Amino acid sequence: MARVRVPSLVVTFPTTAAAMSCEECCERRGLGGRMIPVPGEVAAGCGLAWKTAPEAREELASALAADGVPVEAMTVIELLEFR
Amino acid sequence: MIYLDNAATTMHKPQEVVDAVVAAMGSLGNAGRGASAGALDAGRVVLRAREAVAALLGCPRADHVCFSANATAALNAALSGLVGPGDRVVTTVLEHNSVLRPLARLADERGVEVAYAGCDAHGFLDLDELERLVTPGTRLVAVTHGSNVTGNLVDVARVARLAHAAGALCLVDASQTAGAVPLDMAAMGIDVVCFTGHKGLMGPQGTGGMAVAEGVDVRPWAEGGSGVRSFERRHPLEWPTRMEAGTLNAHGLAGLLAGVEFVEKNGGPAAVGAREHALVRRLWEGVRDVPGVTVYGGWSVAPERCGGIVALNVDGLDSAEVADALSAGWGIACRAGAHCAPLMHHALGTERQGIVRLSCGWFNTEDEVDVAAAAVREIAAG
Repeated sequence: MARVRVPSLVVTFPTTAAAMSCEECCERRGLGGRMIPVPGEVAAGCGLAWKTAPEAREELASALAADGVPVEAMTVIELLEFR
Repeated sequence: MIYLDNAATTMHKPQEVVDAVVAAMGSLGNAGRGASAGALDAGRVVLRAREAVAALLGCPRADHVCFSANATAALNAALSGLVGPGDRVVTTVLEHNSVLRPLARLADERGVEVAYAGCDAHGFLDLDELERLVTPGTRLVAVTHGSNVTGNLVDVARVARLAHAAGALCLVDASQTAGAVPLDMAAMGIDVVCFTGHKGLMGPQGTGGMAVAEGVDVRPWAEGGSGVRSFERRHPLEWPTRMEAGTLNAHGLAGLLAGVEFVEKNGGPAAVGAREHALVRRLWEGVRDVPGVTVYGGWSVAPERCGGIVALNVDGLDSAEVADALSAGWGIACRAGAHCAPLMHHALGTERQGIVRLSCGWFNTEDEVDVAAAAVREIAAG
């Protein structure tokens, strides 16, 4: 396997409860993505973040807002993948 | 899944624990609330759990084992109940936020003076500095038995001796060690041990507590229902009721009892810990010389003072990325980032990168740790 860095949309949340609500929201609406540990580039410390494709930003933001899921930040960074 | 996050919780529980919780949920009433058969059964289970925990921790009095929701609740209660306005407390940079934050609150709200002993390059507590900080008049020395970041163990018997020499009490946070590292609070002279039930004791989440030596006065933290003396204005001060306001988690404690019995059945903390230690040592040996991998903690200098954790980083990679790669590529569950122990990360210089923590438990196998070591090698080589 080789390391590659892929642009990804990373969504962070003020609480773990909000992160879990995001996952539930996305699963219910059929939106792609998955939970990852918060990358240090986005926020030092710990916690969960939602990782998805950058082009999903608008639809995801609308869905989270409609469901009242609080978001801390949405950031596009290059994340490690193995291919 | 290869579960190597036992320092967070032992996800795989003995079947006896699962069975005990299920049975309890179908049969137990509220311990200490009436004399119905279910209430009495709950009370019997709770008593047996107290006796089992007391025996495991070397607490001479089972009625000085007080249960709570987790170690954090126990630590908050113990620290708040032991420390008064203007007191001096000495703690260490190895501590978890469950010690650091209650002490910060006590500093803010009660003017408590808090001093922090540091560590060496391997993350071992600097006991000489601790001794210098424990000046006459110090009220309490609060130390972890094992770092939740590196797994490094602390000589708590020595800490208790130096605390008592200065007239201070000694509180030990055994969250990472209870059930996996022998602890005898009577023999070691420890005044208070706080523990969680869902790690080395293999019980359910939502269980924990404190064991308190006789003669140590911990003021009640919460007041409320006690099942006795309903017309008294304040909460009773008798042990263990003084630290157990409200309904106990008898269902969870039934599981905790089964977990402690499982540990004892398998030779006790020394034997359980030895098995875990061997697995972690094998993992460490598999990653220690990998180019680009930094391993933290004391394995290279004093493995006998190391617990069930291998803490590492891969050069140039964020710890969260490594953990995600281990999960996505090999199905390995571990923990990355900061580990609620900010001073330990400051000491190791890992505030930004965090740390990848791989932690073994009773149910892990040599094959699993070999896969994890190979995965780390492959990630580092990528």
